[in-house]
Amino acid sequence: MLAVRHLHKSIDHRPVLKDVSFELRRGMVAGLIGRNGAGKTTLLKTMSGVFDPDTGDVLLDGESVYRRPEIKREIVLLPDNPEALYGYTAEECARLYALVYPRFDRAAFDEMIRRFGLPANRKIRQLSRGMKMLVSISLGIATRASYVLLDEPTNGIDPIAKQQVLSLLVEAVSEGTTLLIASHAMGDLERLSDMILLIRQGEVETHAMEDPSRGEAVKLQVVFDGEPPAAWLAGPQIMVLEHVGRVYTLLVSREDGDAKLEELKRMKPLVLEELPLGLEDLFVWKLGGRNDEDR
Amino acid sequence: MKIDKALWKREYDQAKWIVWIMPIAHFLALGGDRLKDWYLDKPESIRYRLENVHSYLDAYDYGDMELMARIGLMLMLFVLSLVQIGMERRNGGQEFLFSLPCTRTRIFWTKWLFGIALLTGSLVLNTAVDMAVVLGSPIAEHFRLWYHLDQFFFAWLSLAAVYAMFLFVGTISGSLASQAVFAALAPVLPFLIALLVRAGIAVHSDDAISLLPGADYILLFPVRYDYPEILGSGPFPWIFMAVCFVASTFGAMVAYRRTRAENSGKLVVFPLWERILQVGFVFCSALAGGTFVYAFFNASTVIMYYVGLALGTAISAWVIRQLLRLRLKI
Repeated sequence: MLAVRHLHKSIDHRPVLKDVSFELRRGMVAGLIGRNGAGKTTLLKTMSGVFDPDTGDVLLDGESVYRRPEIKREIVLLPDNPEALYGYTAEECARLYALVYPRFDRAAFDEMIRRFGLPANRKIRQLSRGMKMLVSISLGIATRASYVLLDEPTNGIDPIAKQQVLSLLVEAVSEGTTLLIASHAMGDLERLSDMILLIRQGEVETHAMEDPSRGEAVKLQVVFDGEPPAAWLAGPQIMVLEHVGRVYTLLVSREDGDAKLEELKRMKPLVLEELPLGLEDLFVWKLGGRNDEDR
Repeated sequence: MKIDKALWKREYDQAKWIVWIMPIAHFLALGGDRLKDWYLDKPESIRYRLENVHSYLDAYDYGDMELMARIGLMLMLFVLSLVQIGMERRNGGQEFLFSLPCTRTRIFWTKWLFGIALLTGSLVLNTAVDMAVVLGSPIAEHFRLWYHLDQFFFAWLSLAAVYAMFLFVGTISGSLASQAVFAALAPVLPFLIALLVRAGIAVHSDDAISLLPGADYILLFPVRYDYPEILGSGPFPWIFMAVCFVASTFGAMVAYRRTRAENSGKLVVFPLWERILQVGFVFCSALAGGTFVYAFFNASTVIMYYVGLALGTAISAWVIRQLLRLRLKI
């Protein structure tokens, strides 16, 4: 198990991570979401030892990755751009990784390169963005490390490359690898993840995928009978996600109980239907208020 | 261990062109130059040169070739340190290394050893070539083994010290550009400070200046010494270089281990060094401002010196505050 314990990290006197704690079990997929600049990359870099935490620890099966960095053989960080490998070909990268990671699976790497038609002998800097990510992820998976931390793996790549990246990730998970994926691609995370880590104001909230809102909110489609109740809609517990004609799609907070829902029912709307609450709804609900400190 | 092999491979991959250029440039400045003087030149020029050789010092040209070779090697080591530290910061290489399953101390020692091994290799190879050239040349009768050994050890210690200092400066600098500027300034900084202090004192009293040591003695690196200077300078430069080598190596190792990668792009990565830079910059600029204004107006009164001092302080304090806010992409 990879356990993050009370991690604090400040950059330029600004706290980016505040008392962050969570655990990743083997074989699970966790999505890391948050606004731009919320601290997703800082969290991944601190977990992998690129940044030193101010306080706190990251424990792999009870051992600190900072005190015993050699256990990081089980943790691979894949940044959003493999710039450090630009001077290498995929073939040379594989040779380098094989020296670093003792379980590096050369055959599996060659197979992935062949399957995706990636040029093994061309410098990484000459590849397209999608190809770069595919090589990078192939390398990460071929290390056979137990934990792979990915920063925006599908950002800026075309749909075909994206499908290929996702299929690689699914394969890795089926082989028991744990993935922590920082991304804004909510749809992808929704399909892949068992758990969501939502980062805001330096703090991380954990949400299970079965009930991402943890019962804190409900998503409704409503058609009001007559004039829509402007005052009710403007309340702090209500968020209008969409308004088309007379049809409203709303998020209603249940943090203070069901009072608002009861009020709505008393208005006797023509249509009142509960919709499944998705990851994007959670993101908007938690981070899309007046500012990202709202909920 | 395999991880060491990976670290060495990475060092070689990013600096392989220096690995080849360094011994070749060294050869061109030393053995090659001697080869040209005593084999390849016109026979009458060689004969004329030989007629003017009366001692081994004449034969070895007072160590001028070794001096030029040392300057060349210093420049190569300067570039190597930029590649190993500054460029890695810039291209994500440092973050890649820090994410690997090994300690930062181990990464640092690999870098340090790589540079020291390259320097030692180039010196051993080229000293041997140079000895062979001398022994086969018309000045063979002036061959002195201890001359070559003196030059070898002097070059090794002075360049190892300078290289360690370049690495130290690199580890506290936040970008390639700031590392290049600080590393270029570092060897002459004590000399410049001494010069400014002397100028400041001279403005007040000509008598006091005679009590101060000459600024030239404080110029850090005896890389520029010719052979008579090496012989005549006594143990001081050797001790100084050894201390500088050990202190810089240790300082660089500690700084690398504690590097704050999140500050990459800033002028310096440690808050303490940020403050030292701020104070040092203002101090030097104030002294320079005072000296400049005093000299520019050919002033007869010391007040002009203080006007310059105040102006230098105010302007430099503003400038350094702006610079410290920058995040450089290079």
